[in-house]
Amino acid sequence: MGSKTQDDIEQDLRGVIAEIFPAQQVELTTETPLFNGGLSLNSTQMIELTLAFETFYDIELEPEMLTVENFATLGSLSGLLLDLLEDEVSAV
Amino acid sequence: MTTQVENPFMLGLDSNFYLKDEFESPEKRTNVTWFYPKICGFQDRLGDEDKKAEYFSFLDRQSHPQQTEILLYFHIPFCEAFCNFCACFKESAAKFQGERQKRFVRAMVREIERNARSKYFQGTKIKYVQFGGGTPSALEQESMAEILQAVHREFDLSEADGISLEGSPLGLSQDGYIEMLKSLGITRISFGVQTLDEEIRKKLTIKATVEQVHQTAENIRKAGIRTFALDLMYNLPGQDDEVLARDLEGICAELRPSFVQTYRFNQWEGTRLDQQIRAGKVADVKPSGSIERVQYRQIKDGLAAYGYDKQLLINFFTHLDDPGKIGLNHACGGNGYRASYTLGIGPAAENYMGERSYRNHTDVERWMRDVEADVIPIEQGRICSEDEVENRVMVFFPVFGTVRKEEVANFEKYRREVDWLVQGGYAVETDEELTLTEVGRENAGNIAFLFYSDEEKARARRTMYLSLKNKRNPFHQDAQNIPRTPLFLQTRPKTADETAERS
Repeated sequence: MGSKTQDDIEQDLRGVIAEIFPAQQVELTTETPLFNGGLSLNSTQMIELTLAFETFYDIELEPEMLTVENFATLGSLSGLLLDLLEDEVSAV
Repeated sequence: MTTQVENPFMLGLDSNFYLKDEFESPEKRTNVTWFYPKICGFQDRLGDEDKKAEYFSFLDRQSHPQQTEILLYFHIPFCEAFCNFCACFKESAAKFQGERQKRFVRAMVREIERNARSKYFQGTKIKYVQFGGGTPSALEQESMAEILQAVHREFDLSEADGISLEGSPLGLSQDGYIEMLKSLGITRISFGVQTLDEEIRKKLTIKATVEQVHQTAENIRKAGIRTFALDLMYNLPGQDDEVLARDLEGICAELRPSFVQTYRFNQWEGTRLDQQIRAGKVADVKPSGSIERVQYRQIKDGLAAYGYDKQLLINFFTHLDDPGKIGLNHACGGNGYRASYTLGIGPAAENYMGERSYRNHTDVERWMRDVEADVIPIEQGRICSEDEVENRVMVFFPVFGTVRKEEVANFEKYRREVDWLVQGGYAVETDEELTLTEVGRENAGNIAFLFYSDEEKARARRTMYLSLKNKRNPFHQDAQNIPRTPLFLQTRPKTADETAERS
């Protein structure tokens, strides 16, 4: 998993989002906002998404990482995950 | 999106809302804030006894600042039967009968004495006393009498506006119960009707019959308790506009309480009831944000048509021109005091003492054991930041519908939010006060969230995350209405490895 690029992660996230929010119709680009406008997640859905990608990557987020900045766009979220996955690899 | 009806206590947190469409979206309407700053079972645990002793040292070190009012709140967590929509902390009354109930009462009295005899409360005049739950009237008459006598004996109630008690027709309809309450100083009784529709009552597992509702209302009136309030719910599954119109008629024209309290139905996502509703097993008419908005207006108009045209709080209405010497605050049953200090006694009771916000053990056994061992029966507590303390008045302002600028320590701190509210038609600002418009009242819960700081929002988000992860109720992190099958588990995405294997 450590060899994933940010583009790979974005693609993974698109798949996760499609699976847990099957009715959503928004085209998800790197810049698509996840909250106001764009995907228009609410807090509950933000947590659902978090738990879903935690399962997907078998990782765990620190609660402090649940910031609006980290979840602002698909790009910011994939950036966070890239850092986390790289840390996982270097810890091994 | 998977979610049509949201967990109402979290909705506003991520919408900073400076988009009008988001702000007024029917699916993003949230409840007003009733307790603040919130505490979290995971982030604010007070496990260490030394830490706890330091936290509570103020009780024996200082006196209560006389300029701030104190609400005394008692949480009696027992219910004769559980209504399936309720997320309040409660225990089966059947499990606490006989000697076990006597033990609970002894613990309540001991807790009353410990607080009242502390330096902090010596000579402090209590402004209001409220019994909530659970269902306080699920206690035996002798038990309730013993607790009330201790309250009168230990606290100075000489300037209290009154004592209110929430009950249920199941307990209140017992011979002599209401008379006993009156003889021990109860000045206000409220109980939940919710709806008079028999079929919906059955689906929501409300055990009291409509006949018992009528009988209890009659008994309260006969006993001469002037301040009598009933709860009416809306947006219930199966409660279409006609049913709601009949509920309004039954409550306002037949039961005729002095006050009506309205509550929106909260469909707690992932609970058993939520799943039943989604599966169409409860009613054809399912709750929704759109219906809720329409019915809020129907309720306001309907209440006004029956004379209940005075809106005291966001959800409290009366037909009385003058609530009398008991005053507006008493009429609201303690809710008028939410911005004051609160001393909470009993399992799961919440407290706010200046910068300290803390909560008693929710587990009744644990709470009793701690009280018996002279250990402060608190499980969570935090020292709130100056910012949070300061924000409190503005966070609660939508409950009251108006705030006087002189009551706000630094009103200009909120200039951005105030201007946005005024420009959006949600509020009117004068030199003296800020007042919500009708549209503002409809969005009162979301408006409260505007005054949460970013850090407070982040804390709430972490609470939600940790609660769901630990399979606890996100509201109080207790065992009530836990999301049984969270949606993310129903549609668990394949792991990265599973995805790779498949491809």
